[in-house]
Amino acid sequence: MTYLKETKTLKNEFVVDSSNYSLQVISTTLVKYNGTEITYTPEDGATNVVYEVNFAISPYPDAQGSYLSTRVQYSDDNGSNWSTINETKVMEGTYSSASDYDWINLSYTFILSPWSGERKIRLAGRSFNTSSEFTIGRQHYITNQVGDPACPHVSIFSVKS
Amino acid sequence: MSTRFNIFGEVMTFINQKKIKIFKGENPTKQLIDDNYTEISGSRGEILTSNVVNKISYKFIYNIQLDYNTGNKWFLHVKLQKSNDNFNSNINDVQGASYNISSNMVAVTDHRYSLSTAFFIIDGLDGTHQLRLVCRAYSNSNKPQLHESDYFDGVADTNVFDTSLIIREV
Repeated sequence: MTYLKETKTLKNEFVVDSSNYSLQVISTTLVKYNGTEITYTPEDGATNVVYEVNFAISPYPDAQGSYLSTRVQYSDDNGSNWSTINETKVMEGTYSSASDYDWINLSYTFILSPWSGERKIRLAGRSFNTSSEFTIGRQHYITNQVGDPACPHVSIFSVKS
Repeated sequence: MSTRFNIFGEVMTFINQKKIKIFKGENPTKQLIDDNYTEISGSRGEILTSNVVNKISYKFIYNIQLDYNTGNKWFLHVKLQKSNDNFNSNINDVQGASYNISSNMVAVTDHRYSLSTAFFIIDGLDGTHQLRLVCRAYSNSNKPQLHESDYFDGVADTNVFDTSLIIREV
């Protein structure tokens, strides 16, 4: 019988809000990705904070594909002001001159430097242009049957070395 | 590590530390991947496993982008390697720990940009080992670039994405 008695991942916290989540259409205005925000205070002496997010996008409302410009943002004043962590900026997606209806599952793991006190963390983004808009959380089960909105799933934890 | 016996006489083994190694690849230089296997910057890490826990999870996140100078599509083969001498002479592919990832290979204007998460469970490591990812393009007509984006927020804007590597005992 083997037990893991001690771990070096600390203060795990999770966010998933399936009951209150609604579809989010992303266009060319920078907005937060709903359901990705988490408030977190790192463990004392933490060497890193790991922030993980998983969600899926659909190509709607246009059909030629989706281009996301995504970044991690944080707020130290309870959400009044947000700053972008530059090294987390990433362009993703696929685009075609034909309608190719790409549905994409996105999985993120960011290693962040620790901070003191409480901080809000979230993902924010926009589409590259109006032909590459996308919808977070849209599902189709069978032909033209739109399913329940699928919310992002978020975890965050401290690491101590 | 300590060992105890329960009331049934079974040996109970307690592992005092579940190791986790975190490596953040800061500001990695853009890599153009051709048809030769190349180590992906930031993917190399070392872990010392205990005698009784020798399963390791390896997770590495990196950015793959279209290289506009070489074409309209890309096709990669990615594989995990292990070593016990920091890849000087002891270099071994980890069986079953590999994958392909590509853009749309038919539509010539279907440009794909993607983060990729390599995630593997590795059996049978005991002692100190180094792990790394290597990759190559299917051909020199299908070469991507890693780590660097040429576009963002609707304009031409170069951004470097830091890699994330997490190796842990499981």
